Amino acid sequence: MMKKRKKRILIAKPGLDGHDRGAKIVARALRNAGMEVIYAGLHQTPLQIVRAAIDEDVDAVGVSILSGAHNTVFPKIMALLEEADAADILVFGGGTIPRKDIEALKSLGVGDIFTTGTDTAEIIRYLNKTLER
Amino acid sequence: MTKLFEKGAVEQITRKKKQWQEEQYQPSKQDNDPYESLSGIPIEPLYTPADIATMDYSNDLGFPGQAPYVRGVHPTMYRGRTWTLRQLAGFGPPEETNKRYQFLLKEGATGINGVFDYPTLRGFDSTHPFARADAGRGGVAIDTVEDMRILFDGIPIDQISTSLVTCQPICNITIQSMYFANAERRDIPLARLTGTSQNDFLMETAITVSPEVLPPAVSFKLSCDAIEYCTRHAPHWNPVSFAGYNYREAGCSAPRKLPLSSPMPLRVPRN
Amino acid sequence: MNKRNSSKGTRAEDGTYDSANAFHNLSGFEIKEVYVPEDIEQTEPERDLGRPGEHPFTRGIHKSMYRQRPWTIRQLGSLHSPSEANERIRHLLNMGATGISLCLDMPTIMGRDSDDPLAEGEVGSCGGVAIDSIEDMRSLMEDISLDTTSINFVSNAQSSVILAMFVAVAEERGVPLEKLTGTMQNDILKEYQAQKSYYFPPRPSMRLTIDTITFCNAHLHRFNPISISGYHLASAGAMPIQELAFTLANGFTYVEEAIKAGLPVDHFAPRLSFFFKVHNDFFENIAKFRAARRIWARTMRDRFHARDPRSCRFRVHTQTSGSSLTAHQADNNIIRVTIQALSAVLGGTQSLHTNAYDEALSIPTPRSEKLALRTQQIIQHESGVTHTVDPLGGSYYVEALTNQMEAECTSYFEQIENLGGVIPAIEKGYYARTINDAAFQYQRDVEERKRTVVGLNAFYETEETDIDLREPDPQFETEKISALKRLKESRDPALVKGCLDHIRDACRGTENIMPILIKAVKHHVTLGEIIGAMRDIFGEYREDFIF
Repeated sequence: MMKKRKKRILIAKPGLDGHDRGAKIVARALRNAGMEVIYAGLHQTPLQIVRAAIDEDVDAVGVSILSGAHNTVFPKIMALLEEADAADILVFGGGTIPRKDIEALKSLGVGDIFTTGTDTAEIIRYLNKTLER
Repeated sequence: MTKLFEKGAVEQITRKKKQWQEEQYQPSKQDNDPYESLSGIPIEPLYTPADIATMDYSNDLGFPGQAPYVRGVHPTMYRGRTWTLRQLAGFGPPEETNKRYQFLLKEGATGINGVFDYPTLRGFDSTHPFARADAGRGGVAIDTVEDMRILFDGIPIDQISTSLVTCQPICNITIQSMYFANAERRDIPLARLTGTSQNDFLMETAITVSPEVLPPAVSFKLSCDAIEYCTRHAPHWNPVSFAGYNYREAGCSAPRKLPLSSPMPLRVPRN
Repeated sequence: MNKRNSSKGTRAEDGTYDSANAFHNLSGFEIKEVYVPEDIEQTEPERDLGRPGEHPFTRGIHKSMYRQRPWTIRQLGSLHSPSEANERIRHLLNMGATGISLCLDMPTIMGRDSDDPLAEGEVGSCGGVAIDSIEDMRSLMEDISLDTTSINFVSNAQSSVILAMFVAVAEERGVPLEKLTGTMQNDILKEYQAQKSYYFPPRPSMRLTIDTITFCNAHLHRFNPISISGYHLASAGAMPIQELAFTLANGFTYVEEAIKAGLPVDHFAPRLSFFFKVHNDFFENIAKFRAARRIWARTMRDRFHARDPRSCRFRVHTQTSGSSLTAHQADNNIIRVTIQALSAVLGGTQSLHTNAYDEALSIPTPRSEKLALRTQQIIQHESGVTHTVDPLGGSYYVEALTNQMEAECTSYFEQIENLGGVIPAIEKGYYARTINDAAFQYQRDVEERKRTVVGLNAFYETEETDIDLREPDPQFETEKISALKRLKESRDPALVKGCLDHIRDACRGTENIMPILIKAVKHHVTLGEIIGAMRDIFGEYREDFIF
């Protein structure tokens, strides 16, 4: 029987914003839950994020955006993943993102978005469920 | 005797404060000095141990839950249990107010605070021509024990405490009776009930202008009757709540509020 | 070292607690049921409390505090374009604010001009103003009387450039520099520790900081060239005791560096100022201010030999805690802000910003902004708490807690010393680890309901709140870029190059860079160009991220 591989998740903060408390807490919570977590760090471009995702062979990428730039950044990431033939990598996110924008992002193929006040257990459940398939 | 400060220290602080006040504070004083509290009590620029030099810890402060209770009436105070979240509510017919009570309890209130309309407070039925226009305004309209049943329908009065803002003895005696009667109908022993009735005879007479429903002496007797009954049959019920709040709202300053509300508590036990 | 304990036992929604469980505050200190004189037996009023306006300033830095003059109501006011920001500032001043705080947009914070590819989609973001050149500073300050308005620039790594532009505009308008009042946040150490908007490695950054302090010391006597900040550390997760200790340690580091650069301590220390957060624990906040004052006073006198009493005064601007506010049931935030603001006042702050209740949802609307302002005005004019100085002095609890915080600070200072000081501690990841741990513990406490957040993990309702992002007008970004293009085309390229070369030379050397920057901005060299030139010499700081 093949040993079940640990889920590999990349957490990244794109753009210029440096407020990473939330991203780090999520990263740590996922690690504590038994996932392998790579923290890409701050000031990442969409290209850097996608490259890291592919190089690290991750199952999912979590993007944290507080600056309001989500409508630019998420589509770029999705497009780059498509281009690199890596559209099977799940993209999820968090931060300051209005509900109406979440719907639009989901229609592009982005997974769930976890805004402020979310319990980290909810994110863990989501990833466990979604990545099982 | 548990003096708080060393005599020498207090003397030194007093001296140094005087020096500070003369050399530092006075020169930069503004015209808005002196300051007074709302009660006209002058407020010093600074309070030091010298201001409480003569206090004796054991006699003047003590410990919570022990005389003189300055630091709190219970030993653990809010560490043990927070104060009751008791929001005033009452308007329209009892059905409306019942809904509001349920809403408040659902949102985390931990006690009931019932306000009654003017007809109820002054001893009129809602249908009385004199009172009709005021029925259900500023409080809930209660005419009968059936109204009381509706008012507390679904409210666990054996588990939470209810404050009945029944200011006047005349109102208190009727509302209290209905509350107790309703409890009995619900098979709740009176000894299980917790709560308070305002029943503050003096405040009502001194402050709130009420029509001469009953002579004061009779009013006072009704008040005492209620207290006596509760003492015997509903020991967990506070049969009177000496209300300083209303004196204040009427314009009285805080220090005056205290003596005014105090004679009443001393008088009632005597009766 | 105090191990951080989460508060054991939850308070049930009816208010009852599991009995016999310990109570802890946000710093992990166990709180006694009742505090008695014995708890402050060791306190000597003369030595430890003194009087306001006198060493050790525990009771307040001025003799009469708010009896004489209330704290400055200093609300953040920015909107992405300099002219919009200018309008908002004048509006706030008209409504009774007595000082202004200005935030920068993301690109400006990160040292990039609006036309930089990295700035795409972020020009005017987060309610900050886009500053590319002196043109923008001119628009920002239009019709604002520079010699009577106190301006706080929330500017850090780019402070030297922003200051240069501010000075240049003042000079253009004939305002004597010594009349300018306000503050430049300019605290680079906390960037490495928490906020992460640094560019260069710590040492060249420190050099720039000292240059600005030296320049202000010589020319802008009433301007505070630095606001040593704890707020951001607390926002990143630091407990109040850590906020206190780390802020003070940073402050002492700046003092050391300034002295090393040849500035006599009493020349610059009176202008050092601080920036604190007030979070949820009311009394802990108050104790923090008092402990800060005492520690600062004693250290400045005893370690740095300051003789001027003003060098020993811990002057502080405070902001209520953004991280305590919720998106759910946002109205609750009004109460949070009020209580936090009150604690800042009872703690003796010199100026205060109160958050709007919709912070978690959007940039404040005029309505919520006004309410935040009114909160302070009501405290100031109606509550009477300003009528005596340090009203809680003498409270057994407050004095005991003040003493305890001071003692705990000492152990944090030792930790940092053992690592070689603040900058080595940064480089060794000490702050990242410590703050991350505290942040994670706090989150755990909330999720395990050991810490109640009303409306979030208690008294919860499902509700349809939504975030209302004030989108920077995409038109604005286009216009800004065009304006920048026009500006660049109107310049003499040789002059610009000359300025940039001169900046690079200054970076290699040791001369004070401020006069060079002022000259450069007058020639319309942009912020991005200046930071770019500095980056050529100083390099870029790369952090090893720990989580």
